[in-house]
Amino acid sequence: MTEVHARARDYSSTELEHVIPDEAELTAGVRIEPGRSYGFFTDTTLCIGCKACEVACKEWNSLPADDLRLSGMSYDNTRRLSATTWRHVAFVEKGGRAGPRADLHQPFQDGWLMMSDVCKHCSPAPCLEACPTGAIFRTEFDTVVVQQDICNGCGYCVPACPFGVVAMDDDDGKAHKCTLCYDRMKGGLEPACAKSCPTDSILFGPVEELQAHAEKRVQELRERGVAGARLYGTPGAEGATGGIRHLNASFLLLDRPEVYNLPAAPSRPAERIAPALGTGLAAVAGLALAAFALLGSRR
Amino acid sequence: MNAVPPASSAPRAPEGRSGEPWRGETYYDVPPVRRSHWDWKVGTYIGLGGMAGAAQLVALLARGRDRDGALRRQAHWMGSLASAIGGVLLIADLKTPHRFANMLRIFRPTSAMSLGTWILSAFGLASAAGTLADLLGTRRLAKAAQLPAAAAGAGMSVYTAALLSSTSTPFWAAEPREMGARFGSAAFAAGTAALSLGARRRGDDALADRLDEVAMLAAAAGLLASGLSESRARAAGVQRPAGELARGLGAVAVAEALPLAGYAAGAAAPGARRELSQLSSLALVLGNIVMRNEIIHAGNASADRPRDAFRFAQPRNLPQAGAPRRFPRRG
Repeated sequence: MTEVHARARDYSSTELEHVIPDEAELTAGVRIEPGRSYGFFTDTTLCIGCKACEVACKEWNSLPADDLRLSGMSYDNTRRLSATTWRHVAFVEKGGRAGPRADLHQPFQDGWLMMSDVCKHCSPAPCLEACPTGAIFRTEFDTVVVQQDICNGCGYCVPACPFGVVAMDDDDGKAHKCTLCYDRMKGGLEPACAKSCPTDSILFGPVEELQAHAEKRVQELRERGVAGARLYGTPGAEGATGGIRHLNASFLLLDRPEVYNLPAAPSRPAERIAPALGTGLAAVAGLALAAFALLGSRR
Repeated sequence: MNAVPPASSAPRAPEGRSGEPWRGETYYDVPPVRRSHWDWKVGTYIGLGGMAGAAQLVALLARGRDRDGALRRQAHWMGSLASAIGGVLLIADLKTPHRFANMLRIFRPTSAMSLGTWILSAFGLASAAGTLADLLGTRRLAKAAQLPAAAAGAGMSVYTAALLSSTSTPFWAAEPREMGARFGSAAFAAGTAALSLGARRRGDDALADRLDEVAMLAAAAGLLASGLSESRARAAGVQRPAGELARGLGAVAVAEALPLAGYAAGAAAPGARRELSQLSSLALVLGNIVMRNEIIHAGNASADRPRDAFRFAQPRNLPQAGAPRRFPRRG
């Protein structure tokens, strides 16, 4: 996906009069067409922790800087995704049994893990299914977006999300999360984070192509002896569980998902409506029957 | 001593056995899920709405004993007031309250909040129509309003369990079935107790005594469901610290155990029955609201504990594979 496209020669100047049509074709080898499923594949084995994705996301989406203090969490001063942070690079320093200064490590990235986290654009999406106003919708690119002119700040999507992604902004009283750069995609551009990623740890493209690439990549790593390599969010893998078919933004991890602050087996909250309502109504019906026996007729 | 143990010496599985806490790593103790922003406003609405909903149902069931329509009038008033107050509480809970009407844009069966919006709307309308008909003296209309109000009322008393369960908050998501039974029973007990208080005030002791029996039964069912609910949450990995657990048990004691004991004592000591009955009914009515607020608090607290979230999101807690899908997939 990194080869230079033939059309790139048409745009050799650094000063352009207009947006390059279908620019994603040049930068990601993908033509963005409505009606297809698009997403990310984040390969953490390639992540160097530069945080270009975080910065590009903030820049493009005009998101404010939030907490500028040091966290003491390795190089992660961002801490987590939030209403104003839609890409978050996690840093895990693995100590092993001999503590953080252990001098014996597996040869492949086993001591320091980096991972750029993002909204998973789940299929089906729990936030969308929970939204009572229709503010959250599925776009023509099969991504999940919160419409800011409709959201009334009920906040139900926030606890609904199995990944803790959606968040309320107390300044404007609306829910916010990654839009997979809906506006850029409409203009034929790949999302800002993927475009800025210098190692192609973040890949953007049609979901089925990304999934095929992910399977190939994890196979290749395992053949090279990277035993811990695993996929997260592709069909049948961890992250695609409990009624969630797949995540449009999937990942390749080198350790258990929890190490990266991801749940191993997330579940689709909407599937708990029927059991709760069913037993609740059954209990009420049972009590109603007893009440009718006691109250129904004058003794 | 300097030897590093080989990486393959397998440690115990971090997810532990049933009821055991998460033993694995967390990401600097940052919770992987987010807590809701719900506070006393939503907790109080759930209590009030459930109570009023069940009261409408019980008033309909007791129509044979409702000679002068006093029970019906009380239930219609309770439904109208609870819907009005509850509506105000829910709108105040929104972070952009002036857009509250956006809730009425869609009907979405995968969203318990959308279901609840329409249940509350139907319940409020039916109850208000009943109250208005009672005030105008059109008895037939007031009676006709009872059936839709009771049907929506049954929904009011249980949909809030689905509202909490269909989230990713460990304490709420771990026990949808038990939570449904718990909410239904608690609402039924509180609604019946409120009707009993009214009947005592009107001097209809015979009806109040019967209502007390129903409230007792519902409180006992609620106590059982509360116990099942707490133990199921624990088995799914919710580890409430001692202080939290004490709060939860205290709420159950105030809301269910104490009134149950009060009613039982009243039945045993006929001389003090009136007073004990009224005290127990009042405890059920207020305790119901206390308990719902406690459940809101406990859920939010569990969302802040990363180990609870990781332990809950393990394959063993997933619904059984191949179970029939009752709701169409959306989104």
